[in-house]
Amino acid sequence: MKRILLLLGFTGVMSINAWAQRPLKTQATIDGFYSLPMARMLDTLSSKCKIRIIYEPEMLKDYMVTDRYLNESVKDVLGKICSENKLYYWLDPDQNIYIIRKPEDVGRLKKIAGDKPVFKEVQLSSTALLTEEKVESNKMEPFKIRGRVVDNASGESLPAAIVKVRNTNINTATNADGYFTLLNVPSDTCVLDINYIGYRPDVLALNKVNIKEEITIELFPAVKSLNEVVITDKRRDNAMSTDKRRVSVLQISPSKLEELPNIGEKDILRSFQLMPGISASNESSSGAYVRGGTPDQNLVLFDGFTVYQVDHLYGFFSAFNSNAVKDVTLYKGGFSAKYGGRLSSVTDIVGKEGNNKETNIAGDLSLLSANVFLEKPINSKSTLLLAYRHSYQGPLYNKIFNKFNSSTTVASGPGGGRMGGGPPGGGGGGFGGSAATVTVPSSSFYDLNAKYTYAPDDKNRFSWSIYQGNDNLDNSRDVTLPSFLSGGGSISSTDKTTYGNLGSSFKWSSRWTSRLYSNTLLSYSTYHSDRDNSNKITIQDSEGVDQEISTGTFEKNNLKDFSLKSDWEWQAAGKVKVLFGGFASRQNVSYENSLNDTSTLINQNTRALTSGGYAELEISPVSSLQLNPSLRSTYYDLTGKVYLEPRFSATYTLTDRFTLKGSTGKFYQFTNRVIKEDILAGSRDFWVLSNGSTIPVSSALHYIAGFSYETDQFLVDVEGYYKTLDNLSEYSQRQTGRRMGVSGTLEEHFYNGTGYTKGIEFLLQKTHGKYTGWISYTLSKAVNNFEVYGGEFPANQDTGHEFKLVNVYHNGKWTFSATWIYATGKPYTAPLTSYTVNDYSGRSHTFLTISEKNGARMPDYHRLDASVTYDLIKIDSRKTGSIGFSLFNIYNRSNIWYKQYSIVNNQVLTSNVNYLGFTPNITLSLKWK
Amino acid sequence: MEIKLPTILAVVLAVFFLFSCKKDSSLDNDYTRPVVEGYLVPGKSVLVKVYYQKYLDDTISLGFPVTDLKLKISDGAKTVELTEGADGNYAYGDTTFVAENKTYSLSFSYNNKIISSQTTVPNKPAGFVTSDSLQKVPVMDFGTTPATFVPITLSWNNTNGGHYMMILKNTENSRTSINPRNNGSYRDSEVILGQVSSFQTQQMTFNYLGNYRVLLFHINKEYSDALNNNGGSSLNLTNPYTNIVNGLGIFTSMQTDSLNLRVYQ
Repeated sequence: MKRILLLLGFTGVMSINAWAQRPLKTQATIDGFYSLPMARMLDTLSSKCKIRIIYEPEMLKDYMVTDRYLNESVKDVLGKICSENKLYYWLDPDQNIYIIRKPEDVGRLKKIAGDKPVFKEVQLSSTALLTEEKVESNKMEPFKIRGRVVDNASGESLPAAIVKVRNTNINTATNADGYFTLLNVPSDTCVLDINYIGYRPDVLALNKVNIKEEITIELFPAVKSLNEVVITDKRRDNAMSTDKRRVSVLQISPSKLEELPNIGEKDILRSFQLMPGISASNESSSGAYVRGGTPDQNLVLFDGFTVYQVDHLYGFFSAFNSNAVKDVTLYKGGFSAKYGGRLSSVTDIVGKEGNNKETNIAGDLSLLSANVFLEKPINSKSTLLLAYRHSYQGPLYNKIFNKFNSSTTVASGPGGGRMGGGPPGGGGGGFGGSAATVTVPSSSFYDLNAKYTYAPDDKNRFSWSIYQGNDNLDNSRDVTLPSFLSGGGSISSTDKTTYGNLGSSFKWSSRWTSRLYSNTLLSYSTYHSDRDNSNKITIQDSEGVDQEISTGTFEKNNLKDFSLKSDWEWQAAGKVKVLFGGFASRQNVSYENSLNDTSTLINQNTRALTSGGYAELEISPVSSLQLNPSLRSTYYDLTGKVYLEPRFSATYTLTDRFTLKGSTGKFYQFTNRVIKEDILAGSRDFWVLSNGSTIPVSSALHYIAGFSYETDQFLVDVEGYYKTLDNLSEYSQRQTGRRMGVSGTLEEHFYNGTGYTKGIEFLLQKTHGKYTGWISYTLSKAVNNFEVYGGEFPANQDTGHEFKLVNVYHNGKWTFSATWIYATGKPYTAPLTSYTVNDYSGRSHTFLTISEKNGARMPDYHRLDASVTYDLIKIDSRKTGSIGFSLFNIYNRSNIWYKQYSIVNNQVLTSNVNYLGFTPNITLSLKWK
Repeated sequence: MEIKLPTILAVVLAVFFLFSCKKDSSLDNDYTRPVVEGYLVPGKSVLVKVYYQKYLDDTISLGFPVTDLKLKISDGAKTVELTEGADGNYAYGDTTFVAENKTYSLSFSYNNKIISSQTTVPNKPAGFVTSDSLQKVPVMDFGTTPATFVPITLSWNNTNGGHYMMILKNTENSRTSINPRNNGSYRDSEVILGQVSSFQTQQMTFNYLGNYRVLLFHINKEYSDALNNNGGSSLNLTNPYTNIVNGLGIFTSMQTDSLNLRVYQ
């Protein structure tokens, strides 16, 4: 042996780097004087310290190591060797060390190493033992294994991760707390494949030991610089994925959202709009228009409680802070009986629990808001997470805010008051809409997430989650009267809208046995929307006495939802899983519309109790077929009826790559959100409860069928749907008799009708490689049928064609992305002619005749967005942050939001109110660790 | 079974063409409906005006008159034909033709369509009284403290939920405006009151000093529906109410009672 003076000592000194995301776990130290080629030195370290070091001899052939070590840890030695030679080492989940010059080298090295696959358990144990086991285990009876999938760095559980026994059809998805149970595992030499979107897929070799205990599988977030790593079959590099085992399900990884272009915030709900079936041409609503449904037909759950207000700033941003969100699943239709109370879709958002290993602080700063995020292990059993986001009135905020600001002025301006549907109180327009001496008050939004998780033992977890989001939109003006008009004084016009949601849930999840799991949730959610649109004229007379004249409207909507639900999962047999549960919810909705603070025009206060239960079966009679029949039953006390919702979905795996799927079901909705006709004339929307008469309980039937085809690089997913809707409600308010200070009456009109939507969705997704992305095309039709409008007409949200092109290209630390969206214009009702009649006293009144309901179409909507993201990655592949630059609507397309009409000099003037033009944005995200 | 990607794409394309949709239906180009304006009041002669609709960019105040029509009004027993005076103004001179509680049907043929409407003359307002025939409007000017405005109440009987409208007519020959800065031309002020039985004056109710004639009209609902309709909003236009079949506008009847007020400072 040519090696010089080798002395190997083991000391108990463990250099735990508590801050490192992936510390080198070896405790080995090294002692002595070395002078040898670097490759040899690494071999030495490798054999002496029982670690696996992977390097490219070509890269290291010119390097020598000459140094003396005094009981130095391998970690330090490696660090020293590397830094002297301007090299780095990178550690993979299996504690393999890669010697690299730049992060991109890892992929190539992995390829080299990949020829000899290395499994976690195998590496550190002796190969002889493993061979022995193999022989023995061949005779074993099928057994069950249980485990949990968590994030390696934070210990955060990963729900809906797929765990599959390789080369079999035995697979399962983890539950909300990351637990899974696999029954009938044939052999303890099997290999598990674990996949989770946004994370690197992992493999785990079973052995005699680990099958007996709960297996914890720690996944690593997918790192972009490692993209050229050998592609495994189930790899997902996209921010968004469709689940081919389930029907109409989309999943999103918040950690990858920053790759997509944005208008100012990483936006969860808006990102879904890039997928087929979810309309993307609603810039003013981050709510989901899923398959011809309206946003209120989409159930939004955050940690189990219903969120009623899902957006900020007139709908431009979704109300969820992506930093506090772990997993989002959107069910586009045909969802199972576990979910109910909505007609079209479900967005299930699971908040993060917080890092249980180390404290971490992160922050984002964009042109719109500042965002801070803290996660902290309180003790070994509990964690805390806090996330707070607050907007500031930067250029972007003001740009969007002023869009509404200026349109208000136009709509309520002189002459346009009647046609434009100006605010009932006369608005600021009564005073000429003068913007000359406007004092702009502060408007803002914020949201707060807090979660405390306590896991006293392996079997029980308690968590308490709070979400609060509020918008304070103030468009008030103070106009000081010039002194020649009167003795001086002022007009103050208040136009203040506050809305928001406060929700809290207390969750207890318990694993009774490895087959029985329960999740019980007590939650409280409130929604409020207040609008104060009033004018106060103060005229000061000569003796200094203020004369006040005030007019205006005040609207208040309040919803309180107090719910208890319990969901149970029972793995009855390998092929049968039973899900069942019960729920009860008390809802209290009030709506008040008053004038001048004195006369109340509408005052509604309704309470409803909804309760019921559901049962669901997941059966796979043969391994290629999955059946999912379910039944939900709901008692609604305002109608005193029981509503039964049978549902069914199935997937059939024809070949490895080709899956057929279909689902159907009946859906009821008891709470409706009323969209007021004119968003400028009052609070935009409010929630009402079905009462069985004027607002009937609406219902829907879904029929969905499709297939998906997957290759190593591509995924093709096609789904067609047909949905019938019954008992839809539309609402309008008409004010009569308000002139000369007479308060008049406010008439409420409820129109009821039916509708249907149908469509077909195509998705071609490139799932692997440096270049990823997708093409999505939706052909759809949404038709409403209201007798009051003379039968069938295209629904407001009807878009015929929608085409979306999403391109993401990774190169090292850089990510380039571009999205292009095209959609047929939305339908609208157009004025055709005008006419004028004089009333009895000779005053003329001008009216518009209009087209059929929604008989005209806006011009097509299209826009191009792009973004560049540079990741701040440490050499050990930990990502510490990113800088993103994003361009919205690059070619400054004037997409029309709505048209506005005003009559000036007997002439009807049409003006277009456009969506956002070209808007750049920059986002900086930093993580402490 | 092995299915290749090109096969899939071919199927996808085939399905796509199967679903290719038809064009949207064209707008309802109904520019030809005439606009009718007719108010029947017992004791007054009948006058019905007929106009064309206007294009959106027209700047004329009223539509062009529709001439050479043959308008007929029937009270059930007797049918009269109106004669055209000024262009588009059709009149019937007999002031006794319109009577209380009778139903009148208007019809004429235009553009191969029968345009028609119907109205029933309501009762005369009953019990119309005022709490005071003098209304003091305090001076609001430099150097004085305005006195409190004391409203007066006008009331009438309304047990059947009738609809009412009020016109305030200043009867002075030479008018004095309460607000010295008001230099706009005088106009009777009309207010649709709805289903009420009283009206309370406010500081801003009167713009001129002197004698006022207060006309209370018992109207039909169609009047307030047609003239009070705000046409919906920019975002959701609705067709204005009309009681003219195959046409637009209003054909209605009303009855009035009146009393006098004096406004002073």
